[in-house]
Amino acid sequence: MAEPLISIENLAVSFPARGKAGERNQAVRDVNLAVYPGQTLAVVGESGSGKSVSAMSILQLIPTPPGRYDQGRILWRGGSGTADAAGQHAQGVQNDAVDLLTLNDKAMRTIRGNQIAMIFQEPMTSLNPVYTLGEQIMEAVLLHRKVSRSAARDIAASALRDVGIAAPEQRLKEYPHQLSGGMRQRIMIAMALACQPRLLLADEPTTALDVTIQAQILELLRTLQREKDMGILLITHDLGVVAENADVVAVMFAGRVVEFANVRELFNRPRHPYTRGLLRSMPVLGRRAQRLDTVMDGATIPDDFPEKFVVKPHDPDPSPATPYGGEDARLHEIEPGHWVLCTPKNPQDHSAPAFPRLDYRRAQA
Amino acid sequence: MTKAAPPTESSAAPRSLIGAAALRLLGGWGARAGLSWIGFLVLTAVFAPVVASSHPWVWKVGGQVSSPWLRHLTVTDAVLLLSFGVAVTLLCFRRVAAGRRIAAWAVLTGCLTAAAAAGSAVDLWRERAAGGVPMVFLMVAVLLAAVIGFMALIAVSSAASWRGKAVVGFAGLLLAGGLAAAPIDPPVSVVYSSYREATAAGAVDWQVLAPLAYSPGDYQRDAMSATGIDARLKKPSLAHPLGTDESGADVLSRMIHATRIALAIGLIATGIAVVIGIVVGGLMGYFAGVVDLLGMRLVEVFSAIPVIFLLIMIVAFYGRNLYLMMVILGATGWVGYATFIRAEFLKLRKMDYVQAAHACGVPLWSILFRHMLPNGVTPVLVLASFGIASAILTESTLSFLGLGLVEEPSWGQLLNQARRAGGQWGLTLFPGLAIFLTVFAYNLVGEAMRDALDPKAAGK
Amino acid sequence: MLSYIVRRLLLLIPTLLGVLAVVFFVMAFSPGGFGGTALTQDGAQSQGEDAKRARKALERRYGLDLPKAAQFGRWINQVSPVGFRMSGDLTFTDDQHAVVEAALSDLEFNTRPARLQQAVAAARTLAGYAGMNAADAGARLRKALSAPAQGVSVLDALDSALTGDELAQLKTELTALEALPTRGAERAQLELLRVVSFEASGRSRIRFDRPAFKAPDLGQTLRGRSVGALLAERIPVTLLLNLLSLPLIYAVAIVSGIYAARYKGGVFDISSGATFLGLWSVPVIWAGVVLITYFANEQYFRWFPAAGLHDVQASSMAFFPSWGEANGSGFERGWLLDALWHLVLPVLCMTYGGFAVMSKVMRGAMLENLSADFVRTARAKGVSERRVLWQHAFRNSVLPLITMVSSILPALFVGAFVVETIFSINGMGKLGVDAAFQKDRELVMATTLMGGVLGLASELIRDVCYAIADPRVSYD
Ligand SMILES: Nc1ncnc2c1ncn2[C@@H]1O[C@H](COP(=O)(O)OP(=O)(O)OP(=O)(O)O)[C@@H](O)[C@H]1O
Ligand SMILES: [Mg+2]
Repeated sequence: MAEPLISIENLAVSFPARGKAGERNQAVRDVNLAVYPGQTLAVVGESGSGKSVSAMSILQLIPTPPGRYDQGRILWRGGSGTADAAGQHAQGVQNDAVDLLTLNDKAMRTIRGNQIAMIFQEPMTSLNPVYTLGEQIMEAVLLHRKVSRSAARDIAASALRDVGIAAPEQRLKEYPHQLSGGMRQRIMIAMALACQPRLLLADEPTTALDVTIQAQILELLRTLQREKDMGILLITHDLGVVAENADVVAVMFAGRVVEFANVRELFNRPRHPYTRGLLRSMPVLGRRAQRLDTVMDGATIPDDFPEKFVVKPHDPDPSPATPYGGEDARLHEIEPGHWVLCTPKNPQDHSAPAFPRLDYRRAQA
Repeated sequence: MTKAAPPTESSAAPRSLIGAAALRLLGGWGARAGLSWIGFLVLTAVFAPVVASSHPWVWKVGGQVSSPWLRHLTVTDAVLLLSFGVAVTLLCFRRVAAGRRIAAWAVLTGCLTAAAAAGSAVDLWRERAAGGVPMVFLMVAVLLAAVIGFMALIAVSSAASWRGKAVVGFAGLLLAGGLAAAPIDPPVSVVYSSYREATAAGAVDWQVLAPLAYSPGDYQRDAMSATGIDARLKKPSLAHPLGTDESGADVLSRMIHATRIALAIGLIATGIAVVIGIVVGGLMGYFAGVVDLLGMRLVEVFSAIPVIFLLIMIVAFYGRNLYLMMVILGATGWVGYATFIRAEFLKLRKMDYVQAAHACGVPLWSILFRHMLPNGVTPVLVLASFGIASAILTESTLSFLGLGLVEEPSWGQLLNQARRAGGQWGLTLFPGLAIFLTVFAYNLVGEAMRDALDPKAAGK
Repeated sequence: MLSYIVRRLLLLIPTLLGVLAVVFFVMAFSPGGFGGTALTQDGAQSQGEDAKRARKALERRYGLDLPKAAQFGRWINQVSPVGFRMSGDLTFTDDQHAVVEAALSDLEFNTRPARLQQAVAAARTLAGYAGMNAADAGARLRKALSAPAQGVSVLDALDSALTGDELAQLKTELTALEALPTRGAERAQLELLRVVSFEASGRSRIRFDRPAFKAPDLGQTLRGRSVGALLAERIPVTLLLNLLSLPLIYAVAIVSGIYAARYKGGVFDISSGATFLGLWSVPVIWAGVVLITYFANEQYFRWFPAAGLHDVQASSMAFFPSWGEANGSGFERGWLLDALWHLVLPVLCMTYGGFAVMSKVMRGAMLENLSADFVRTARAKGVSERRVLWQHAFRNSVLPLITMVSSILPALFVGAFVVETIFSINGMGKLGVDAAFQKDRELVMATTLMGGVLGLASELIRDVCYAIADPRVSYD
């Protein structure tokens, strides 16, 4: 069986609580995710549910302090021996996977931007205002490839061309403020893709953009993914985007993954009350509604929820401190290829919680 | 959405924001230290003549008990002491709200000042025939008008009941009348040595002296001549804790009396600057357009002249005068406040809700001055705190350069002597230390106020 | 960009005029007027005829007979590089000179070359001042000199400052001289020439006929020194102080600001913040006095010199330090080291106050930028922490530092007033203070001009630097 490109296992990250000395807020906990090469994993969930924190943990971009990685492993199999060369081979890790959380800063730098790249949520502020686009894109290239400056410039130009920017040579000399928001997001993507990473972490790459640009960019990501067999972790709030682009979907709530399944399964048969609520709150064209449901209105436990498991009914006042689904709920594969955060009724007679992984790709349109 | 939240929050509840800021201000140790030093200076300024004076408090000479000290008390001394007494009395009325007590204190002090100013105005008017000083008379008259206007302002804006106002007003009249009627008429020329000569001659049966038995202007000429001891530039000793200065006066006594000038210069000069700044900045921001353009040129002109140089020049050309110095410090220091208020007004003019209110027929001045000014004034206070510090520094620099006051004691003037003092470390170290501590105190308070008002810090 | 700079420079002129006008009229309307001791309260001396003459010459040099506004205009004209010529600047061409010389030389009185030159100079002033041509002026003076007592009327052409009484007195004096038996006429002629020359000397009127480019002239001090030359001598000294102080302030502020931001809330952050705030509050005058008293004093530590910029023997020293046996003692400081040694205390006094403001700005900017999104982007690219700090966060934090230039430069200039006075350094600052003390108008105006230009120029420099450093700003 093929191994996932990356698998996050039991990740927990905390920040110090405001105003209360000594206490810590659990931003994410027990997060389990996996991405296969060429696969798009969409992560959805409400604001503050820990999507960005999970993604940034992969690159160890959480500032520590104040943040802290409490536990978990992030196994990376995309490195072609780079990590071993750095002498950072972690023990107890099967195959040639490395645990990114154990790497030091130096080893981490060979992975950041090179094997794993990230596109951030805020395109307007994520580019350095005082450097030209060329300098910023070339910075990554020069760091990770042994090439001359002119070769780096060519790579940068072709990266710009890849994301559909006309006259790239010209653009390279421009400054971020000379571009529109959509253009900047393309630059961010170009920068991320310049070194041909194996995995792309795209944190709401299209939120700031208008619908046409959004469609273009997603199309672009899909094309690039197909060409380079790249894994994508796509964070978004837009369920439409998920439905059209994702292969596998993870739903997060209050710092935990509550449901994990392929996109078809998830949209057709959502199991977790939160996911149901989320989907119910989505307006559907042609369905008349007096008032759209809120997430909590729609959060009901499905009738056909497996007998063997329980899941807590909806909690009107969720907070990271009171996890939705119960204190000791874990992800269980309640149906083949469908993981839900729940508790077995009888712990003895059911299998241990499993790390969700799904090597599924949607049929190409 | 989350980004828009903080501003609305702050503008919706300015009161509580300022209140919270004030609490946070008092919580910081820096501000507390600064404020206590300033408080100490205020006490020193008020009680300066009590603590350090060559005049015996009480003595018995030739079978008669009298108080030379009381006889030499000036009007200023009396006003300060009375005002302090009023403050202490008011502190005891715990049931009345703090704001009202402060207002009452301001009114009562205003009455006292007005009485004093009126008194000296009358004196000056009488002197005019004998080639009196019109400039000083004018200043006193302006002071009088300002004080009366200030009291009227408090009376109008106060929310107190008319009975409360009447009580305070009556007390004020009583105080002012008492002060005017009191036989305060200190002799013009004082011979300090007479006290020491009387003591030496054994004419004094008993006497109670001030803790520091030297007035700032007591140059101890007798000590130099009669006993053959040169009292100049004496190193610190038990009699003179900080030694004596170039002309033989006690350094500590001069330093104690100089607190008045330091505090007054800082407060009054900055007060003038703030008023001018708010008026000019307000006009620029309110009218915008041509007025703003002209105003900005004025601001540019005043910010391009090195203030200290202008001051040096003016003092050199117009002579040394405390009031003039305050006025000039104020007249040159308003630029910062003006630009700040202008920027705030201009920013506010563009706000949607102001435009909407304007469209609804609310006059712009009402919007700007009723809603804007109260919010804008708090940051101005921060600026003012630094302004006071720099005014004190400037005054001492001028005095240091030899352009300060001649007779009256000031820290800068003592420091000027320190240049030539050589081994008199009491003179080298302490006046400078006093300036430093005072400036530091105001800077600490300003810094703490700025932090307390900073919405970013408020979130933490 | 260039057009922007030119536009700004042009805009600078009205402001500068305003600054100068404020200072000028403050002086002009002061009760004593300017010139102070030299022009007004000269006590006993002012009684004498010579003192009166001298005062008159000063009044004329500064155009004090004009209304105040006209005086200001006169000064501006004198300083401006484009303007009207003064009649005093008029020089005869060789031809004109020859004409006048010819007209005057056949007077017996003028056969001596020195007298002839004096007469020609008087004719020239006459011509320039009254707008006559050379030949007329020569003829007029010749006529006057041939009959001195009647010739007094030549003074009218200079709209004489002499009163009717004085004129009458001069006339009788000259008549009496003429009547003297021996060489009476010659002595009368001499006396008249002396009076005419004096009245003509220093008398300068703006000739409104031809505006032209000319050398700006900052005038003369009360003592008669050229202000321009004086400035040329003093400015380098102040410049040296500032050029040493500015980089020092920036260096310390940048390093400590970055360090404080990097380890925010740490021991260094808090202690440096408190120390700098404290230093900021230390009055320069006190620091100066304490430093001089304790570190430049025989009684305590004589580590540094107490005054001046150079040792007395500095001019005879070699530039670099040397260990020659030639001078016996082995080590000799050399000019450079000597100057540096003298500069330690003054520069210390000028810099310590600036650390607080600058490092606070630096720290704030670094904190903001270190948590900025683009820094996160850089980290995600795999950029090293060091490079993130310097290439990304620091590069952006430079912008507020540039803004500070416009407030720190004038502050340094002001600091120079005090520091130079304390340490007896003959720079611009001390010159300004002395000028104010002496009520020397031209010097005060020149100092104001320098200060104003510096203040306004530093704003321009700030804006230009900002435009260079921040691509988002452009003035085109
Ligand atoms: N630097 C930080 N310091 C303190 N708390 C943090 C920090 N970064 C994130 N958190 C907390 O972690 C939690 C998860 O944040 P995260 O940014 O992952 O949310 P998100 O799902 O990406 O939300 P959004 O959809 O709005 O981007 C939040 O409660 C947030 O307050
Ligand atoms: Mg996010």
